[in-house]
Amino acid sequence: MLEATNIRARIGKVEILHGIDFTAKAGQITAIVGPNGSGKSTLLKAITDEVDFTGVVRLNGQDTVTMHPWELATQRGVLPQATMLAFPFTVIEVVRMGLLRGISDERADIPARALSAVGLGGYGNRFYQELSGGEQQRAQLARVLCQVWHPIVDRTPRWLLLDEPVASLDIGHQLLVMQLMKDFASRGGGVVAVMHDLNLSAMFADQMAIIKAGNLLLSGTPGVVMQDDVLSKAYGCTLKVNTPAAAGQSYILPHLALGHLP
Amino acid sequence: MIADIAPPRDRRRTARQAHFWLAGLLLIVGITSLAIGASGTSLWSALHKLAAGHPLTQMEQVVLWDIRMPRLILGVCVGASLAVSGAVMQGLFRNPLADPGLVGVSAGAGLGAIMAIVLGGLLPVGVMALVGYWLVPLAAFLGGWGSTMLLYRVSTRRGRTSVATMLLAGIALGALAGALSGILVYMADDAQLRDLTFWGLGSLAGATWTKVLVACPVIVTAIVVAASLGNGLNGLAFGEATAAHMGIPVQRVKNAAILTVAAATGAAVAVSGGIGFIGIVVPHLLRLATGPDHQPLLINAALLGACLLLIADVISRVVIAPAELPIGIVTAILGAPVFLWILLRRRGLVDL
Repeated sequence: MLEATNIRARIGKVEILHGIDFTAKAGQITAIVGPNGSGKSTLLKAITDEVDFTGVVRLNGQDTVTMHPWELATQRGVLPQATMLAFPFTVIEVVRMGLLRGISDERADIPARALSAVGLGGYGNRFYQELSGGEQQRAQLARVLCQVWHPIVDRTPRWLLLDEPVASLDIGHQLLVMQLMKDFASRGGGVVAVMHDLNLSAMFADQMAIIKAGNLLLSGTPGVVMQDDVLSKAYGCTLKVNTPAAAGQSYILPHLALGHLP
Repeated sequence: MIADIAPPRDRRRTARQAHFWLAGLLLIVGITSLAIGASGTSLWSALHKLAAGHPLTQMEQVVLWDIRMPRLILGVCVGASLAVSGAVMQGLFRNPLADPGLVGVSAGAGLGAIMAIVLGGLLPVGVMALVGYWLVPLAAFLGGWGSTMLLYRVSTRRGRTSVATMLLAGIALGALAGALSGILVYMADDAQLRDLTFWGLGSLAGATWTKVLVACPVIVTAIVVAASLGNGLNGLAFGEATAAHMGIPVQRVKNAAILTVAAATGAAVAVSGGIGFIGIVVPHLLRLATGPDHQPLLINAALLGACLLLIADVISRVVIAPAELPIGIVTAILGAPVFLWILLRRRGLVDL
């Protein structure tokens, strides 16, 4: 269980989050969605202690402020939106750094397996800086996967906290990465992802939380959140949700004629 | 860019093998350094005599044991400390162009040393008795520490270091330290001036056992601490936030790195003056050869730094023998082109 209570966060002098309560369960994908500048990335950054915040964040029941970075790293892997590397590391060297305690024999093959899992199997000896943005993002995901390779350790779930993990990926790799997240959750781990793509979120997430202007507008299953009035209010434009009976998944299509709400 | 270099299959093994190759090289260079000098004293004949059980002449003893030996040890320590502080600083600032000499840390340490030389006499007798020979290195350490802290504060915002700010702030810091040093030089008496001039050119010429005993323990400690920072610096290459998520105690690593750089640079500057470019050239060459992983890099940097400084020292003793070129001139002539080369190869630097 990941519980964030009454989270207020400011960047500079501006308060970005106005007291958000957010919960995510292990074994599920929880998507944080919302318009640009709504504070969804800031919420993830507050949860991972990257921005100053007030409120309490509990990871598996423990207040994260009291946990050593080391302890936190064994329980959660955090993927930032983009990572610039200072030195010419190769891809496999980057991924290996996810193995926190160094490389023991039983773990030696994890980095290579993680690389294959994100579709970068033959890329180990390429230089990270020469990869495209989407490839770099997947290489970083492989590193984070190494960090929490087993979704459950000693009956404690481990967590993937991902900031827009598929934003820079093509549709094939979007599905691959979403499937990876689904797989991690189905094996008992917890996944929290900041998402732009509502359709992918509806397709894969178990829970969705919509943030609007620093407040939690609504959270619930995709069926609850993917409603015309909810989405139209959140994004400030008229949106129509379709749910074809055959697929059972809600999706939205951009609708030119309807335009923006006042 | 790095496109023109084919990435090796596994650089970890190469990097570890380099420990042995470089240690071997250091041994050879060290022996050469003992054997070569302005006086005609021969290391070999001295060794023969020792092996045969004959006593050494007074001359041989003085030249080999009291002049060349402390110089050799000091050279090893100073070279290692310059290269390691360079590597640590580049890791800390996430930039291959950071170097204590370029960004004003050496100048800060120099200011500390000059203050100690010129103003040391004003200290209460009790304090002087307490610190003794340690006064100059201690002051250099404090100067280096202050300037590193200041530089980091100025050039780093939210865990990201601006190269432009760092280099420019380094110039400003260096200029300020230089100006204050100038004022002190103005105040200095003739004897102090002589000390300062020779010290400032950068040289191992004044090596004595006292200097070795004062500087080397500090440097060795700093290098040992630095060698333990490998993982932390690797993490910092991803930015501070990500490093923390990887389980690295970022603040502790940063503090340790800053203290290490200050101690190593301070001690090196105190005994040898301003020797530049070792700190930038050595880590860069090693990164090209064996990759940027800081764990082997820091150890290799210590070894290669020691080798290069000894080679530069031998050159400085030989080219205009029996006179000596200050070693700082030799390292600058060898190192400045390498620095420019790094600069030109990094396209991204155009738009700092």
